[in-house]
Parts: sequence; C-alpha cells; structure tokens
Amino acid sequence: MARSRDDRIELLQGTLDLLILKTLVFGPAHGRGIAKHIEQTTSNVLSVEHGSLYPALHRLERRGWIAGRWETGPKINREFKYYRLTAAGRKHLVAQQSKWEQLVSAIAQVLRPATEG
Amino acid sequence: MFSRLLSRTRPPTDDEIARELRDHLELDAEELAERGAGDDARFAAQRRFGNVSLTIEATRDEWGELRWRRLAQDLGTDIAYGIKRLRHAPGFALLTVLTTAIGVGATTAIFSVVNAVVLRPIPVADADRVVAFYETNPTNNAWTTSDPNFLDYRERTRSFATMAAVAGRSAGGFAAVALLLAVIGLFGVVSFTVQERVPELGVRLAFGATPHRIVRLVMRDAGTVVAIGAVIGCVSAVLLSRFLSSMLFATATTDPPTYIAVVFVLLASAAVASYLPARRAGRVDPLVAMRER
Repeated sequence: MARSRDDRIELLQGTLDLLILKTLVFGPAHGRGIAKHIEQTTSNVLSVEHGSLYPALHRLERRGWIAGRWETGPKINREFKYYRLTAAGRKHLVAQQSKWEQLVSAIAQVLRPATEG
Repeated sequence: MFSRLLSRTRPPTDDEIARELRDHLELDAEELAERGAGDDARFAAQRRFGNVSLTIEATRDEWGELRWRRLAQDLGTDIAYGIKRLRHAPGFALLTVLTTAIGVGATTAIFSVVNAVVLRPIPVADADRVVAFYETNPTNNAWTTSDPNFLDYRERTRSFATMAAVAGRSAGGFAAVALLLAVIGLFGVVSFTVQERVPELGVRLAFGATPHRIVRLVMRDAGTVVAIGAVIGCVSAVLLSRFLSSMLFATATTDPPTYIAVVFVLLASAAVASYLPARRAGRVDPLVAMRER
C-alpha cells in the first residue's frame, strides 16, 4: 500500500488549489486532514508537503474561497484551524473543475489519437 | 459588504501559522506512536517534514501587503486603547502625557540649541590653539561675560590672536537637569498609576491571567500613554527650539538623534517604572491584590 517516495508525484501549482477546494466539499477540515484525504484517495500517488499545502491554504483564504476558523474538533477535544468552503469558493471550484476536465481530455486526445492514420 | 471584506482578509499572525504547522506535526507524531513506530521512524518522519520556518515564511508571504495593514491596525488599536484609558483615568494619564511632553519638549529644545551653539566645533583654523576663558565674580559667582567687557577684552588682548564670544553655555546644564527631572517625574507618575491598578490586576489574575500577561498589559498601556506624550513633546520641541534659537541668534537645526535619545531615555524610564510594580502585582495572591486599596 505504502509506495516508495520515488513513485509519488509532486503536484503542479494550481492543481493543489483545486484539490483542496474539492476536498472541502465534503465538509470542514484542518490542513493535515486535507493532506491526508488527498493522499489516501490517490492511494498515496500524490504527496502533499506542508511547504506547498499551507501557502496554498492561505492563498485560498486570502482570495475568500475558503474560510479558516479555530475550532474544537469533533472527535478530539483540542482546537485546530478548520477550513470550510465559501460560496465564492464553490463557484470557483465548479469553473476550475470544468476547465481542468477540458484540459485533461485535450491532452488525452493528443496522446492517444482515436484512429491511427 | 465592507465588514465582510475586512473579516475575510484579516491576515494571521506568525504565531497562528506556526500553531497550524505544530498541530500538523503533532498529529503526525501521535499517529506514528500509535502505530508503534520507534524513535528512528519518528525522527525520519520529522526530517522528511522539511523546513518548517521556510513554510511559515512562504505562507506569510501569501498575504503580501495585507500583513502590514494588520500591523498598522494593531498599532491603531493600541493607540485607541490608550486614548480610552486616558478618558477612564484622565488625571493620571493626562499627568503622564504632560510629564512626557514637557520632558521631551524642554529637554530636546534646550539640547538642540546647546548642540548648535556650543557642542558643535567652532569653525576656526588651528583648533588646538583655541582656549576658553570665563569671568568669575566673587559676589554672585556669575560666569557670563557682558558684551562691553568682551569687546574690551578683544580690543586689549596681547596673549590671544583673536577672541570670540560663545553664548548659551549654561543651557547644557539646564538640558541635563530637565531630562533628569522628566525621568524622575515620569517614573513616579507611571509607577503610581500601576500601583493604583493593583486591585484590577488582581481580578485579572483571579480569572486566570498569567503574570507574564499582566506585565505585558501594564507595559503596553504605559508605553502607549508615554508615546502619545512623546509625540506631543516632539512637536512642541521643534517649535520651541526654533523660537529659542531665534532669541539666541543661533541656527538650531532640528537634531533627530537628540529627539531619539531623549524619547528613548523617557520610554526606558517608563518601561522600568511600569515593569517593577507590574511584576510585583503579578506575583501576589489575587485575593490580596483585590483587597488592596
């Protein structure tokens, strides 16, 4: 299950922003929770280092796409900074996601032509 | 709309960013411990985690110039709080402001003039051949020379190549005395003000404030009030020194180092004057502190 470090892929900038927004659709989470979620859903293919995670979180917070608040966790009696998606963030996510899907399908078309000449 | 923008764009302090990262690292460590990983594994995980201070810096940079705005806001809050205290305890606060203002004003004004007239080297050739002489007077010990006397000396001298009069000599002593008086006065006013607050500080202690926070609170309050006084003092000193120098026929340029030095001395005196009683107040039993008065 655990992959060696070489198999992991560092995320492109901007992509991480998209993944964070998507993760928060399922509910508020703190920084580590978001990182864990991304790593686990991709079976550890994607690694999220704090060096890119926290700048990204604060970049999104500054733009107003997510909102951070210090709160006590649901299972643990301790305060963490929980992030949640804002209405503007949801709108931004929808736009970015469709852009991303267009990009992926465009690249796929080039890499795997449907019919060979 | 405006308030929503404000609350949304409030940048975090460095402490908050550091706390977020620390939480992250602690949870990692806890998870590793739960899985029964040895110290080696934990150490490796920590190393893998990379440079935390770099992350803090990068995260802080995401906020750009907003951080400066926050610092300015906090400063504004402190000043607003100082003014509020001024209204609450107008007597003491006003006394502090006045003491500081007069102290800074008088000292810097006098010193600027003295500096321009006396302490700057006299523009003569062969400075090593220059000597100073004074008059003494058995009856009243005055040591200034009147204009006619000076003119007579210059006329009849054979020992000196030439002669010049220097004014304002005794003002240097005035400046030192003024500063000393200001320091003593400020020290007294500030430590008395803090002493007056001991019951209030006792309440804060009873509600769980740490001695450290008490000291910080008291010193910030004193600092704000003294800073307000210093600003008023500096402004009036500039005006006063212009006036004095025009009376002494000298060009007293506003001398920034003097202002900085005097303000620094007074702030330091206020810091000591508030620190000592605050530390004492932080140590006593809250019940005793509340009963005092």
